[in-house]
Amino acid sequence: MYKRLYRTKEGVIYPMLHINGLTKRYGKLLANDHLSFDVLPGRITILLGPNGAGKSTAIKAIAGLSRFEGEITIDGHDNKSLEAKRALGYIPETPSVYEFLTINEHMEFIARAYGLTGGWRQRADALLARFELDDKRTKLGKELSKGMQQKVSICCALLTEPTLLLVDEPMVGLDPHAIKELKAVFREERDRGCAVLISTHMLDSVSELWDDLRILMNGKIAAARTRAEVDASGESLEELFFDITERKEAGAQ
Amino acid sequence: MKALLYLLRKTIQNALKELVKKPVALIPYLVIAGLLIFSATMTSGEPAGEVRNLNAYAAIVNGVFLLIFCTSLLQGLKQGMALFSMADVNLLFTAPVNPRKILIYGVVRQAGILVLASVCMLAQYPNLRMNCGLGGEAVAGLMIGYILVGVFCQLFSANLYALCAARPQWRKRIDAMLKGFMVLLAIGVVIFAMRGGDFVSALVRFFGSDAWNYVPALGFGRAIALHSAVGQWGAAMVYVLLSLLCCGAMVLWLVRSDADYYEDVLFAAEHAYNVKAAAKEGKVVSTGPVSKRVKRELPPLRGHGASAFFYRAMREQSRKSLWLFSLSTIAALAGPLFGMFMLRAEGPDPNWLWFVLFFSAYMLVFLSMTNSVPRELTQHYLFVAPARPVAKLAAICAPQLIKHTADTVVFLLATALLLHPSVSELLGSGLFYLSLGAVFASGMLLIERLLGKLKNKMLIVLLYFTILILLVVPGAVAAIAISGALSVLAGCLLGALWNVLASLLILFCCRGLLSATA
Repeated sequence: MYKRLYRTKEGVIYPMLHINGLTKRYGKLLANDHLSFDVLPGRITILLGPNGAGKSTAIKAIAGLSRFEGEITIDGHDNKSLEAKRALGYIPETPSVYEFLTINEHMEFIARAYGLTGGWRQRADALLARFELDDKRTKLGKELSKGMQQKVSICCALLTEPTLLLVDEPMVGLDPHAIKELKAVFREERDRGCAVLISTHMLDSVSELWDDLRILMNGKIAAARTRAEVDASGESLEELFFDITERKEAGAQ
Repeated sequence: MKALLYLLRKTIQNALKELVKKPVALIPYLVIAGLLIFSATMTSGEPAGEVRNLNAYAAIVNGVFLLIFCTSLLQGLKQGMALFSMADVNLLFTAPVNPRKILIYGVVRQAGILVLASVCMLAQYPNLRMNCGLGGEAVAGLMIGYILVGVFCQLFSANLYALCAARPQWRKRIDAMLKGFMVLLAIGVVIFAMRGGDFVSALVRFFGSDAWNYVPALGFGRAIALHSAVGQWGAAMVYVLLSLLCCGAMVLWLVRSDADYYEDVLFAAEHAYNVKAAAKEGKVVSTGPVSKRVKRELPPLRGHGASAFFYRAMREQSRKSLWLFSLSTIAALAGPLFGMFMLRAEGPDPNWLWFVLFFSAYMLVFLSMTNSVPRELTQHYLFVAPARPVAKLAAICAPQLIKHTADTVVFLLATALLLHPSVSELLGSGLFYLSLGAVFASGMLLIERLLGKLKNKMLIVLLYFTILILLVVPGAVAAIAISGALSVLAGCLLGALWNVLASLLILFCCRGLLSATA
């Protein structure tokens, strides 16, 4: 069950994602070293870090795609349970769709897999229109470009109205319109009360979005800040990131 | 489960619709179907004759099933299950669907692929008819046995996965047990060889022994193939039933296991995705294994200009696999082994050398698809480096030729040891086999030149085989004619000369290949 409660202006809230001591080893390589952090509902948390910091490894562990040591709960349930999966929306770094399913059929498949009832078709229509896929509904997965596949992945993740949205390098391969829409979607999801965790190393793409920040270096959390703390310090996200990561690198040398 | 059934149903429906919508895509399938029907019917007019070489057939079937068993298990333990795609990982694994149901879905889909693959067994019909006097029933039995053994191996691998996922220390134990099993097989052959007779008859007696019928699943598959071949369908059906029971037991084990297998699947799915994505972009991803004991610190690379490409390719090759043994070495061994079986079965034949060369060349055509020349041609710096295009082309083909020279040594050793040819026959066949490497390496350049813009992969593969065969056939026909009229050495020399000239001509014609990436 939950380890910690958070007091906010709205009252006491539970973390939607709770990570405690997440450790992942690939042979001798320690990819994640006792990571512990929470992601709260109604907030956008970004996981920043240079290449090889362990961001994608952590995201895969949270999504239930790998074995790990430690504890991960989603909405109070073990992250590999069906209840946790029902709450999770996952947008992977590498979009990949079924070659012989049309976009419409992808939506229908997700609706069936998540047991969605009434109203999902309207939501699917709205999402497809928003990401400019409505005229390509009958196209097969194998006929879609990488960018379009990414859009389908996004629509699939949002269709289920998740309470935790897990996003790995979200802007890669998207056109400017889709990037604008995706940023708007993140804000809307936050306003709906969804907890959003975005992993990226592209600072510009998330600089105006985030509420909470975790900087990952060599598999460990090197810094944790809220937006209010960074704003109060007068530092920009970029300055903070380079200050922490380059100081750590220099220290390591 | 409804979602999984929907996924399977829609995938099959859309794949069929796609074939009907784009009839051009049907052409390669129709050609292949035509070839299969042709090969299946070409000997159907002849009487099946009396059944012969049944022991050898039993040994070969057993060997093939054992190979499927060992390779699927070893691959499974190393790379994870190749049952799932990246779309499954991204969309299915993160969905609230029971992992065991997903595993069963993967196995069912794989079984469907095996059923499709088993159609290729039809091509063995002429072989079975001519060499063993067996008919259509044998092919049907072989297909059923192959499907059941294949499904069992997939299920067994999946179970071992689940077992190793929960207990990582088991991975090493199972790997050791499997290797121990292979050693036991080798010991079995040695014991049979020591009892008398030559090596080949020991192989046939050991792998053809009826005792294998008692080995669950693998032996049952063999028994289905054998009993159906001689028309004993009652006994064959008993073994079908037993095989189904084995598969059922595996499904039961799977359903009851603690199936946290997603991580094991991830690596294989990502690898398959990368290979497919690269193929879509016209690239080739190396699938060769990287040695665990790879030397990372090596002396600086040598060469300047075009030769830098040669030394780089050699460095990569040395890190990728052993020079002496790789996939292409199988082709070098296949011909002599085939010749050995054929001579035993049919007795001395004046054309034995050409059968041996034909079989090795036949295998080499398939295995050449994995050679490094097409991959090199996708590297942009090959196009922009300031060196003469012909020199660069020669530099990327040269490592293939060196590897093929090593394979030729293997071919010569195997031919000498297994077939005891005369010195002139050995020399001639070695030169001919060596020249095949040159024509196949340069043939890859020609294929890139001619088919580089084609998008239909099936059509590319079909034309690839046609072009390589057309390149070699004139020299081979002339060589066989001359060897009959003069001597084997003269025939082989003529064939080798044709191959070398053909490869030089191709190199000359493709000299402009590097002028534009298009």
